[in-house]
Amino acid sequence: MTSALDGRKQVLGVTLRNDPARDSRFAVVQLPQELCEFPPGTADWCRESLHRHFNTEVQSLEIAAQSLIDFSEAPWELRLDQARQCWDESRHARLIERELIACGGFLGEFPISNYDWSVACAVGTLAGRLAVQNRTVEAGEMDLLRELRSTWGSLGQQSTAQVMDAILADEVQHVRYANQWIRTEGRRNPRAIMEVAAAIAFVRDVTERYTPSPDEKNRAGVAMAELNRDGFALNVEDRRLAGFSDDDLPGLGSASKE
Amino acid sequence: MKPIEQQLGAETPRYEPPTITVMSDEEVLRAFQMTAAQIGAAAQWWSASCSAC
Repeated sequence: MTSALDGRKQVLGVTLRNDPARDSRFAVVQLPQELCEFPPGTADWCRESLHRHFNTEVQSLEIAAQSLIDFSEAPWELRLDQARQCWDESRHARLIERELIACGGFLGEFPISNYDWSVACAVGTLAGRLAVQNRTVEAGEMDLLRELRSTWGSLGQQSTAQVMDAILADEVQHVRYANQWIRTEGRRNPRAIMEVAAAIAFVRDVTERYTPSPDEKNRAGVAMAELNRDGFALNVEDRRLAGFSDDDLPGLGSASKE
Repeated sequence: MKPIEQQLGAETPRYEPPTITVMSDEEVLRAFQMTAAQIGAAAQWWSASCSAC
């Protein structure tokens, strides 16, 4: 299924960036059904979701850091924003690790996937990379984090709920600086807008190939259909703060009732 | 000369003349957005909604 190329790998017929290094504690897998996701609210879900969240934050750090290397000619202010993002994401990873240990979990307890890194870092343009990682993935995570804040609060885990809130505040800025740069650069150089379009078309193709069928079961024995991913409500308030206009919002999902 | 549909047979799709849609930068960006649910379906994200909570 996978084959190592020069810094690249092939998964399900698409060429992606090779996985970043992980120490021997971690079992790295490629597909969603190879992970151990449990139904939300269970003790297993608490540990596994924090474990997965930890690796998401580490990947976000790695993507921002790799972009500083891959696009070293980018404007200084943008590079400063990316460097600040590295610092934010490293703090997030530490906070999530603390919550994971408090829940009785430990790093390496569950398999991990480096999907975010592999897809984002396969995009070779700065506008495309920012569109995929910041404007799309991290923007989607703003919707996810708002729900996680509520879920952890409902479970009585106030400390974890507060961590989700703190991370969400930082993510707004990560999405915002990318949205601002893409719009400014697009006015100066319209090619950047086409690079955004090409990058998102690429992610749509990868997404289609990676989406498991509903009757498939993951490594924990849970059918993918039982894991509801349609329930992400649009976090309108933070999306606006992050630079999405009222015209952008209808195409991004339904608003939260929260 | 017969119309192209008749020349090619009844099973051939109707010929559609090409059209051009002019889009602004903002319209292109809007056309290339993805929802959290779309990303989450394949990304290694996790469910957050807890019906039992």
